[in-house]
Amino acid sequence: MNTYTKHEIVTGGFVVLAAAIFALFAFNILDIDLRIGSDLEPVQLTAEFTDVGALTVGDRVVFGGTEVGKVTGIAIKIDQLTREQADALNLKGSETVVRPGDNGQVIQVTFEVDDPNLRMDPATASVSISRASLLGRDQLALDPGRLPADADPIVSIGGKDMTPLAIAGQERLGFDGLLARAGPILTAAQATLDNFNDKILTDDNSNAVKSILARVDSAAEEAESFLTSAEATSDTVRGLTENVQGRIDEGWPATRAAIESLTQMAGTLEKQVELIGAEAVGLLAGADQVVRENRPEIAEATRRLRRTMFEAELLARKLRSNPSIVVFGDDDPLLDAELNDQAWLLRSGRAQPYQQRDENP
Amino acid sequence: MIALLSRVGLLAIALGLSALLALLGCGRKDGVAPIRSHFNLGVAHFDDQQWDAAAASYRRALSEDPSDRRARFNLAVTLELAARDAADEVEAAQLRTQSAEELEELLRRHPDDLRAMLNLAALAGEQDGLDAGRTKYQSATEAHPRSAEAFAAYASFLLGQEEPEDSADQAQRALAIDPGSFAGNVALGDAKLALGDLDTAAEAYETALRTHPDQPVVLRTLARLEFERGRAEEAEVYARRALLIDPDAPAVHRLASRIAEQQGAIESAVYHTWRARDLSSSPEQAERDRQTLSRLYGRLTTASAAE
Repeated sequence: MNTYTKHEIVTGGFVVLAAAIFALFAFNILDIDLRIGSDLEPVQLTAEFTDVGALTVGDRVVFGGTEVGKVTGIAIKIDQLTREQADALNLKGSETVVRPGDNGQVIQVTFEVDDPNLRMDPATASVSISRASLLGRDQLALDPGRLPADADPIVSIGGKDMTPLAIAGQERLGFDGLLARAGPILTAAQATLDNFNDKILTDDNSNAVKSILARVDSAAEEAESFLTSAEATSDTVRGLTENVQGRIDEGWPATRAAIESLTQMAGTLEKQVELIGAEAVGLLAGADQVVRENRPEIAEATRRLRRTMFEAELLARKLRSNPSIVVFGDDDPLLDAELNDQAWLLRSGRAQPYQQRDENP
Repeated sequence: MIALLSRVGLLAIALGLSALLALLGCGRKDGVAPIRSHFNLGVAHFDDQQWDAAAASYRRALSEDPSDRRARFNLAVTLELAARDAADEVEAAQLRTQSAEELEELLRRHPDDLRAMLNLAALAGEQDGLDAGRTKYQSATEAHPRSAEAFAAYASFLLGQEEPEDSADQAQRALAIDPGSFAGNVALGDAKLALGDLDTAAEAYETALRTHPDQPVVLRTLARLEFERGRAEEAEVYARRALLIDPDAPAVHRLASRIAEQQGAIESAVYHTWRARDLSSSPEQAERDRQTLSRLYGRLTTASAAE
């Protein structure tokens, strides 16, 4: 029988300990759960989106800022396609571009929820894709729906072998989406206003007036849709703010300031949207009356509507060019560079200051 | 043995070359990173327009060496610039007084310091009037009769006091000493511009640009000058160069917008006015930019309809 010295045993012990640490680290990296005897199985859920953005497998599922699960799969769902639709997707020799959502083709996100304290009603629950912070990863934000207070939590009835429950996926509306909707409205409004100016203010042409008013009505409908979208975005921003604000620690003053700025900006956006809406609705409602009564007021109405649309366009352009103004605001006085200080020194008869390593005072 | 000696010799040569290169690098103005000192830190803060931090750094440098004329002069300049940004006139007056005290202290320690003399003269002229300023500038030019900078500064002061003819004379004296003087050429250009002699002004500015091709102030002035002479293409080139160096200058964007509009490039004019509006710190100016933008959009719409 071999005998080992104390020194060898201690050394072997350290080797085993190091191996165990490496193994734990490897399990952790691979996300392998080593717990034994857990009596709760996570609930498997699915939701469908036309665009999942940067969401990936392993991303968090959150409720109220707290992690309650994770994304387990993302795949294009094609079993909804009929034969004709499948044929239509055969792009050989065709220049047709199939976009997400066309022909019932959607992205199915599978995820699991494993928090035993979460109450959820799959019939009214929904998930949306959000982002934890400006630089953070995407995540699934869970709205557990409307569940009666005395109902049992359903999270324990699932299991990996069960068919996943499907809940609603809410598409997010990014700035691009907002702008895509705003563009045609602005174009339509601009065309309407051109006709408004050119035709109404010249001859008494009642047919033309009717035609134009019909187009104004059409633009108003689109404008209303645009405003609804803008409000939804504003709500999303506010929701994100509240979500994140709940998790802000007192020790992060800079983050708190950024969040307060975000809240303020969301409020400003909302007010701006309300103002634009009120202006547009008021103008469009009064247009018919004004046309009949007198032309100077038409001119004023035209000018104001044009101004409103112009402001909306500028807002959209500013957001598109620099979305971070939503967080940080856009009135940075430091950007002003009128007659810089060096020029003032030069032109007021003063000498320039010494520079670094200027050796000849 | 010989091989060993040759290796040691090669090593010595390599070390010597390295030391020589290092010394040459230290002698270059832009060759190496600045030494971390309170003065250099002050310059860095000054360049960032952080007046409080710059003044604090210069004061630390002076606490280590009260005879450091560079730190004291820069402190005085910093205090004056801080006075320009002061919240109210009382604070501005206090800062200007502190600046004058620092300059007087500098002159007490170094009676021939030209920079201190010029800045004290400018302060005296602004506070006590033209004659007080003249006296001090004349003292400075008499003390430094071969300094083009002194005459150029005097010329700039006189122009600020609405004496363009005297200003032009002093600028000519500066250029007689040093025809390539940047400050002298700018002062002459400014004076001639005020007198309506656009050709001489343009010539002076172009001479200044030859020695300082990256001065946005001169580029902007030349752009305006060429625009007023009806040479929109040349004006556009100067405005573009100025914006390459300082893309956030609203005044240059406004000028570029006027140039573009005259050339019929309405979309470009809209872009520059839009930038000027966003960069403007004054609400009144921003409102004027909005009106310009609205007018330009009107022109753009008319042009599109015509097409």
